[in-house]
Amino acid sequence: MPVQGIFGTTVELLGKSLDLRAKRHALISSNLANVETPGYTPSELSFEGQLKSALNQGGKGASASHPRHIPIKGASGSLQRVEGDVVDLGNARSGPDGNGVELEAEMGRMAENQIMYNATVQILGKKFEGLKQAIRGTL
Amino acid sequence: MQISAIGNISGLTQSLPIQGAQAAPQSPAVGFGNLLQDMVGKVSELQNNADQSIQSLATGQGKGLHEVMLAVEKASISFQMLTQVRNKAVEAYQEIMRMPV
Amino acid sequence: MDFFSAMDISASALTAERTRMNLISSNLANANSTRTAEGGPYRRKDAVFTATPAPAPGSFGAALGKAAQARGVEVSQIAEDQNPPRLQYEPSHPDADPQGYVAYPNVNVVEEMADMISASRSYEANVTAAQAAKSMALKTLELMR
Repeated sequence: MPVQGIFGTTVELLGKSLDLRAKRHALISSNLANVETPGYTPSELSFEGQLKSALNQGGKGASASHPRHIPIKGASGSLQRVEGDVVDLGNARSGPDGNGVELEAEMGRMAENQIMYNATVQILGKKFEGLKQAIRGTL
Repeated sequence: MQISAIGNISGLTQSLPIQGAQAAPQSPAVGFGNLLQDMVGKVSELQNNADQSIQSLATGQGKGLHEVMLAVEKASISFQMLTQVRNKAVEAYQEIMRMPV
Repeated sequence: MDFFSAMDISASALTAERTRMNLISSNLANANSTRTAEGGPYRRKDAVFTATPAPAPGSFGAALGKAAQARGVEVSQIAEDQNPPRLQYEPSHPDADPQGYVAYPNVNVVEEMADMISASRSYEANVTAAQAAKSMALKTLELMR
């Protein structure tokens, strides 16, 4: 019985986005740590575009190369390959010491990332709860 | 005691607007079956809506967190209601089967 | 375990800022010290920050390739300010040189205060980052409840 089938694309997507948001937090932390370092260029992780195209690829994802392999369902193959790009933000607003980190912007981005991470965890929990309820047959 | 009182189960289908006009002339079993089927369809649709909004949240589009939360809650609550309706229906059926003829 | 490397980065920043605060306090305390053990007036000290690659959590290779983009900070050296000391005419001072000038440290108190504000602001920002990492990790644990 293919147990993997009860978790759809959405659970896969939520798990991957948790992964990516954790990496984004690491980059934001390093931007904040280097807010006073001369000559430092801030960087960020961009992954929304990659997630979108991975989802659109959907059905054409991975296919079984050998008849006895269990094919990966739906978009999971291409979703697993999403890694996110580390993009340099540039030194447009750098001070005289060559440091380009904007403290306020980084704090804002960190808050947004944290809220989205927590929201994703909650939605994932809700999905699992719904599955458990269906299995149990009652509340 | 009138055996035709069993026909009053159709009142359940009339309280929900889905099957309103057609509930009365049909026999209770078929009416309730259609009701359940409709409910399952609606719940499935709500679940798909929720999935769509989650995907749009993850890719950074869509109206935002509140849209996702509402869609997910609606899907979850309607699923719970469907489960409870099914459980009650099964319970009622078993109750009836237990009755000595 | 990505949150632990993020917390390490924030911790490195907190250490660096604390070192800087110590130097600022030392500069302020010695703003008028005309005599030191090495001879001559006190010289203003400054911390030089450099970005480091974050510590790789465990194995090298692929892990190093990705973790290296998130970098912590460290104080690579404590530099002494090379500006000449401030000379003030005070012939009655015990440390006055033959012309009657006393060499005072080249510490600008206002500048040190501004540095202190900036250091504490960075410190707070990094504390917030560490707390955010902790809260996200704890929230993830809720999935298992």
